[in-house]
Amino acid sequence: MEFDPTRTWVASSRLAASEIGNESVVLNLADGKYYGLNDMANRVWRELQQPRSIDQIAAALTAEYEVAEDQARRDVTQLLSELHALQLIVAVP
Amino acid sequence: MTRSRQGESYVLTYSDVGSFTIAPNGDQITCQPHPGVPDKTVRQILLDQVLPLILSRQGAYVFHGSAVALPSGAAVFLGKSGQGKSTLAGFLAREQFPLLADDCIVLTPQNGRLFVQPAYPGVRLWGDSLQCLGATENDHPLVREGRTKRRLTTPQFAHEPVPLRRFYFLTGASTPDVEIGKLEGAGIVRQMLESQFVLDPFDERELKTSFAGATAVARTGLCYHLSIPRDFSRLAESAGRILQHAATP
Repeated sequence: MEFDPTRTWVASSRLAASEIGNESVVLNLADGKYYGLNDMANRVWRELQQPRSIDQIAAALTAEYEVAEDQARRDVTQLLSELHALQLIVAVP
Repeated sequence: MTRSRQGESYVLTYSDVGSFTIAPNGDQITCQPHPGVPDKTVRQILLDQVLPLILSRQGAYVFHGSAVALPSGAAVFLGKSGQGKSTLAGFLAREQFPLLADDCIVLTPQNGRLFVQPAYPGVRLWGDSLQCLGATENDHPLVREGRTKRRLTTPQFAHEPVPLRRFYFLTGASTPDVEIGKLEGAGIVRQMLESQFVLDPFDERELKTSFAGATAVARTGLCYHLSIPRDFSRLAESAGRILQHAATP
């Protein structure tokens, strides 16, 4: 399924994840592959523990970091597209 | 060794020894050795290779490494084969620090801490390591027929679990001096996962246990990388530095 930036997204339930320091480690139970998310990606990952749209996540980032809303939205879109390709997030029906 | 499934059971096949069939929950092992294979060979495979996988299957945190009980707590050495885990553990055991385990490290969480479980009083060493520990190669039995490692029994052995004090990841690099540095962040988890015994890497329950073990260790803040001079004549210096480091807060 292609990534649709207009949908609401949430972390997949077929994962094990843990935050260590300022990073998260995510293990995809479907294929046994694991990933490290640091800095802003970790902050986005925290948001994705609940269903979130790209706009909601971008708003959370702009409130916390010195980043323009447009740039935040582009960054979040790119990251969510990658997380989707890795099957770490799923669209909320 | 090859792994396969037979219905719900797991089959581990060692071409020169035979096969071990493990019940799905790990509570039963059926061994079918090839004709003429000595019992001691079957026992060694069972002890060093099959039981660690079964412990993982049953929910234990199981790592490939060596461990000794220092006055400050248990020091665990992880690293690839040939990087000096057993040699360091054997040297420290010879220096009166009780051995906890060689090859299979089982960690148990208890009251918010991790404890290293004792395994059996022996380390597996190649001839040059045996010699540097003052042992005569032919006085010690081969771990397995046709292999080159030998088992050195260590009189100093810890009979009770010991709280974890340090996790040292041997880098394999030969450095002019002992180098120890703190490991932090998610990278530790990758190293921990790669050091674990896992029977079924496609089983979600076992993967979750493995991940929980790796992250539990990473969160302790007790993980360090360790590089030592690859020179047997400087082993005492390396051991001394480790003792000193493990004793610091």
